[in-house]
Amino acid sequence: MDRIIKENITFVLKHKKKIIFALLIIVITVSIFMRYSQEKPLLFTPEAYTHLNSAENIIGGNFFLSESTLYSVFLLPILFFFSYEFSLFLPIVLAISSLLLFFTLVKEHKFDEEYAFFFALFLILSPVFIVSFSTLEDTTLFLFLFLLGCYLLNRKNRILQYFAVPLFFLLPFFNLIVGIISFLLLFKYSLFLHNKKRKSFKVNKKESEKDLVDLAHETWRLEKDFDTPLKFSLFSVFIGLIVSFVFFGRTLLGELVSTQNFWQNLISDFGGIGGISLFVFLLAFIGFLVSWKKKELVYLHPIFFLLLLAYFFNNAFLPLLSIVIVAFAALSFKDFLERDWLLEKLKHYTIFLLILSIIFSGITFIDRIPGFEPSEEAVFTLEWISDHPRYTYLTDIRSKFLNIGENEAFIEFFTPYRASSFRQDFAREKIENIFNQNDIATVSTENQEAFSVTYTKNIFPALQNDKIRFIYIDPLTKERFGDEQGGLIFSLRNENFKLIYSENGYELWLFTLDEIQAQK
Amino acid sequence: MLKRKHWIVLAIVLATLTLRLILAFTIPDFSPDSYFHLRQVESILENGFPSYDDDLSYGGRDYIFLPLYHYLTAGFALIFPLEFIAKFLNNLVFVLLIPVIFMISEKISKRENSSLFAAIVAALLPINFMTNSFEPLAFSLLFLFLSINYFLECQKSGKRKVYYFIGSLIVLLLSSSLASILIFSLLFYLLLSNVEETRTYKSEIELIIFSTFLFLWIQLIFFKEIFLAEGFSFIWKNIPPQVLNEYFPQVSITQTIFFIGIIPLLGGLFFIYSSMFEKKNKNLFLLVSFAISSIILTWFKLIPFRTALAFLGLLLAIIFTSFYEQVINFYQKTRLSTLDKKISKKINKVQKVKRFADITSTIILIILIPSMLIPAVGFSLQQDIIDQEIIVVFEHLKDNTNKNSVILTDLEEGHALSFFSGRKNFMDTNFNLIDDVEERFESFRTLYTGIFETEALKLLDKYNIRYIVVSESVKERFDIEGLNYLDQNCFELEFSYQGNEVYEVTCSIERS
Repeated sequence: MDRIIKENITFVLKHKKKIIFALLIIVITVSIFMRYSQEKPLLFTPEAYTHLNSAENIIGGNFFLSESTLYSVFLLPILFFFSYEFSLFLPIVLAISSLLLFFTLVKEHKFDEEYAFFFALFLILSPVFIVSFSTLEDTTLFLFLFLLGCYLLNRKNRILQYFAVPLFFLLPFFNLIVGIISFLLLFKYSLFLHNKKRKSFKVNKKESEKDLVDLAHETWRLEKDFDTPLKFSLFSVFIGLIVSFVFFGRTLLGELVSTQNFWQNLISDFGGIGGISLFVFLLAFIGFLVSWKKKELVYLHPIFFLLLLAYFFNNAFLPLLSIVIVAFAALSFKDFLERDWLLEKLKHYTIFLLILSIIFSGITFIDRIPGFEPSEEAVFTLEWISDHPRYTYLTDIRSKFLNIGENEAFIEFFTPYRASSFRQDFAREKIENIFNQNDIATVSTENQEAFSVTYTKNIFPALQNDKIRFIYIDPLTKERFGDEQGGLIFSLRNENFKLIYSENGYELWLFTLDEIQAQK
Repeated sequence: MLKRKHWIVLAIVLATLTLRLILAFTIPDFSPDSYFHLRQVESILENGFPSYDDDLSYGGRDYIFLPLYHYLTAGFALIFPLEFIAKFLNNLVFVLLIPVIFMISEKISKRENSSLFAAIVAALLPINFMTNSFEPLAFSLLFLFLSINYFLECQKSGKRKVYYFIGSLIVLLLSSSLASILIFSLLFYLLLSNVEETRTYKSEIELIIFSTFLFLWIQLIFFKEIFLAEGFSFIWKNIPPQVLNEYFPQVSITQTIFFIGIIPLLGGLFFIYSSMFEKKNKNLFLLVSFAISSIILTWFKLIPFRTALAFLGLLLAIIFTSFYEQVINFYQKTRLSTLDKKISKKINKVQKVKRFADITSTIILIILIPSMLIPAVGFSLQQDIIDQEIIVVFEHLKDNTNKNSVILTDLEEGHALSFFSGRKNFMDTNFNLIDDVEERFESFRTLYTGIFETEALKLLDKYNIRYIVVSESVKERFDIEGLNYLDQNCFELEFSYQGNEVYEVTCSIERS
């Protein structure tokens, strides 16, 4: 058995690139096929639909600097010429390109290829990667832009090097933390490149025993050809940070997604959408301890803590945090491989077990993908509005949908209306605090407290003020607020709410008070 | 060739087995949860597979558990009657723990006499005298201590014993989640060794890493659905908060003394305390780490109290041997030996220590055996088992109700209801993967203590309950005489036996 394991590991390491790319194609194809086979919309996660909304707004001429996402700019050509489903090709292209760039950089800089392989392997099998590259997520674009920038900086052609500058300028437009991380990573990369060039320069000098004039000339060339684009790139990230903050209203943490379920979201085996496998997490823990003693990895620690802190406040940082965790995990796995064990057979069993477990977690996650929103029923429900002109044409286009935060992006994409916004709200946390209160004096539809209100005297003015016309109830809303004793779902029995659609647990309600008042 | 010590251990095993079997077959029937496991063994006998898709529990649900022990029992049940083998096997497995404890003690103390004490303590631990319980606990404890034994052996004899360790670990991992104690304790041992700067063998670290990953992998394979549904809360098995204290009660000193026995408990705890300040015996240090970690797990309510006590009791049995050694060593260093010298000048130092050891052994035995045997037998006689009377009721339901009927009975009686009547229960003690467990428990309470008929009918309709069993157990749980909302139009007394009544629900909200 151990001989077979040993042979397999040798084989895998020999064909590492082929294996990684084959695995990448398999993972993404299977993930997409899982949704396709069950007739679910191919794109999932609210973030994907936020980008689509943003891109459609730009195409429609409703261009708001603060609401447009960087990803949506890259979606424009696709949406302009094709239907939105074709946008699925973008993350696939980004995934393949990013991996190509990654392996090229590893080769060019003579980084540890084994480590790079394990890093890529664990990343591809991580739920966070599967989610990110099967739908439209900022992290994929960030990775691609950053790797492309690094690749360009390492070209000999000076013009190509300068092409990296605008790419790095764009990075803070995701959000300011991403900008800061980009700056730190680029700074580390610049130091690395600078030292590498200096070293080769010294070697050259010794070999040719150049005179002082030559030496001065080469130093000047190094400065001009190489250091200047590096400095420009660093400076461009800095300028990007300022511009995105001042003119584009980018915040430190970006759009808040959620602050709850820290562990559940982080570890996919505990039910999160994305995250990493429990085994990768444990490996990463060991890797973190190992990395503490390694000088060359010192830069990973501030980035890790920064991302951990950011993730604590906003779960949207999970993909980036997961990448750092996977980096630690790969480190520990490599350490396992290299370390001499007294019980050599046990080492092979452990490695075999680890790989099996990580694959198992990945497969388990892929199996769950069809269950993620939006479901086919949700899309059908929301599109029903557009298919029934009575509601579409007779209703003020500025009217809004009352919904729980998770559905906001879907509503705005599949209906002509806006959704009540939760974007700047710690939605879930607030909802938990409010859940037990059945009567709130001042109600805002900008957060989910509206769902906890029972008394119509409180909820009606709020709905009217915020131009709420439709109420979208899906199974998740019922699960959270389906209290038989109170809350908005209970109040829907009131005559001023009219059920216009109900199928498979999805409901659309019309708030008709305005109509009644107009008739009077 | 069997040595003297082996004969003694064999005698302890046989005597304990005899006592346990007498108790087991004198007391009729089983503990409430045993019926779940019996049903699973029946399912294996019928279909070859356990019933993970359980039609009878909660009116139909999925329930995942580790099935190895059930398969083993099913194997024996092919030859012997199930109820006989369930009682016999469980008690046999418990007494097989005695030689294992003896082996571990001998490795640690290297003395025969003190190891025999450990065997006696293990044999008479009151907490393990649940003679009529058919659960994988005993089997898991056996393989848990076997794993510990081989783990200790791996340190020295190395590679050959590694396979024994892995084998016993796999059996443990496939029979119960008790392996979590082993893994947590091993990790805690590593941590303590690091803090105390005690040398750990390389092989130990390797075995711990392998065991941890193997444990997690097997748990993930079997309990994937539970982890996904409940996240970190899986530790508390989705037990409704209303009854959580029954499973994870506050640590009670008096109960602990009763269940473990005062001498091993005090001796063991004293030794753990004193060993913290002394140079460590490596093997003993491992066991002390185990004991501390199990206390921590119990204190933070991460493992059920009784499971923790069963484990801790056996650990203290082993540690008790070191306490005994400590007493003998203490004697050699004190004035008592000088005093003894004056009394009988003729005997030499070795003889003197031997004589003291013999006297101490006799005294300890005189105190130890009754102080453990009496609580053990008492606990066995009073163990929580399903009453004969309620079994008659359940058997009546089997013959007089529709096969798909959902029947409401006490939480503890849910498994027995399904076992004897073959009918669906409303609720039992397997809470995992039940989405609305809190709501169900509230409904359960309301149905027994509520005063409004309409409210009761609404709930009975909701859960499609057609019969209500008002047993002695439920009366005791809720301190009630009977149902408050009884109305002859809607609730018909179907059967009554020795204070246990069955009501048929004859109308619903729509029909009434």
